[in-house]
Amino acid sequence: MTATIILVLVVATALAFDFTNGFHDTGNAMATSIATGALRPKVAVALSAVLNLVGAFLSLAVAAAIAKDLIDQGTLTAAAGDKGLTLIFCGLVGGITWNLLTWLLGLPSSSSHALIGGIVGAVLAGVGTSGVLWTGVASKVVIPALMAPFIAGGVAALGTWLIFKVTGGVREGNRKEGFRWGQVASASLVSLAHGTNDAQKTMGVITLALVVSGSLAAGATTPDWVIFSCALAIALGTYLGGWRIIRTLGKGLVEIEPAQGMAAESSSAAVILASSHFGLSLSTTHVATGSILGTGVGKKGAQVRWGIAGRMVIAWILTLPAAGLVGAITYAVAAGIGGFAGTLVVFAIMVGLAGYMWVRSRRAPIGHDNVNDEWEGALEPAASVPAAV
Amino acid sequence: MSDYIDLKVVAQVLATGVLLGAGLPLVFAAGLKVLSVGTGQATTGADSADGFALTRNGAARVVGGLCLLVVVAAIVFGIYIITHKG
Repeated sequence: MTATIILVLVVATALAFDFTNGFHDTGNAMATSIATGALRPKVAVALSAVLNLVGAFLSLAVAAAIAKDLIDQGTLTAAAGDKGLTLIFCGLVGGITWNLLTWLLGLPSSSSHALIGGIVGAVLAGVGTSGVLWTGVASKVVIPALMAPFIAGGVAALGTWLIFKVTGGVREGNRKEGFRWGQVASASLVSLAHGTNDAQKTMGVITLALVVSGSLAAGATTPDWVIFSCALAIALGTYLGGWRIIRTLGKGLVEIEPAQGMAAESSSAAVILASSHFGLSLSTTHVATGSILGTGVGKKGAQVRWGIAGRMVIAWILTLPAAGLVGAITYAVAAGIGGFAGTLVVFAIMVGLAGYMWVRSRRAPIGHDNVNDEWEGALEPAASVPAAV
Repeated sequence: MSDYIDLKVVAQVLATGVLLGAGLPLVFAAGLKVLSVGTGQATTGADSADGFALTRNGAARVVGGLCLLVVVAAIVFGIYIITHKG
């Protein structure tokens, strides 16, 4: 009986992670369209949510194997039953905690890296260094994170420069209206790609948990209810908006006009699709952030706030160790107390941390109504009024 | 080193990124430019430099429309890639 309850907790936590994944990444696709006014904020998040939902149902041949190049898969499946489930559970707790903290600070960071970090940390605590494939960690996580902003930023800077070069003589009104459509189309493509990539990750985690707990035969296909619940969780998360991150991306990094928005999202869409096609594991978040920076670099005289970009890069570097630390500590707690009680305590810790960060965010809430306020050196607008979520 | 970075893959991603991620916005921008010339709004001075001075309304519309069509086709191709991977 308790084994079933633990499995239910793990599945619920995985869906909660999927939900944070959704609102953490809304800005990747929609921040530019919201900042330029191409779409009203509520319309933008609704469109992105629908496209994530549709994306989650597309391309379901195989749910992504979670961290397969990073963790010795044997350790997760061989640590059958409770231990395997606890490793997955604590990994998810690490991922969620880091996602919420970075959201509170308004910093975009990769949800996949947070999840990977959490699981690597839990495995380190539970199995030791032998369970982690370090070459994989370097080649699939660390190095791509360093390359992504340069690749995406370079493409976006080139695109921006070309656009301004070509449309120099075009009347401002025509240009804005034209690029508005280009911007919405390219942002939609990013949302769709996000749904196909990221919802699958959680589907993979839940499927793995089901296999580890013995509820599902190894190698079985993802059950329908997993697909539906994951698709729904990421779409609902996307609709919630993650306004703090949208604000940083849309207003904080660079001042964006429609032509730049289109250049940024086109670069993001092309680089994300190309990297998943050719098998380079670039994070959607790193690509999107790099693209937005690139449009600032590519436009003559545009202001790029490098201080904010620097904070983001620090967050990216910290993602893996920080989520890993939470994963390791919670695993130590869960294993120390042991059994069902241990899992419950960790669950309570996670809920407590999440509640605390939510309360903190309400001190200076950012919502659809003040997301576009002038950037005055800080995430929170000076004239902050209590906003509806 | 090749264990860590597959330079060929990086080059492929970069090349595709430049071609589609910067190339398509360029085609789109060119389409907008031609269309706006077609409506006779741009000044003659700027136009003759670009070789559009003698372009008739209709021809400009066709060229501009073709540019936008290329972009739409590329987006459809992108959706095809998304739905047929894995």
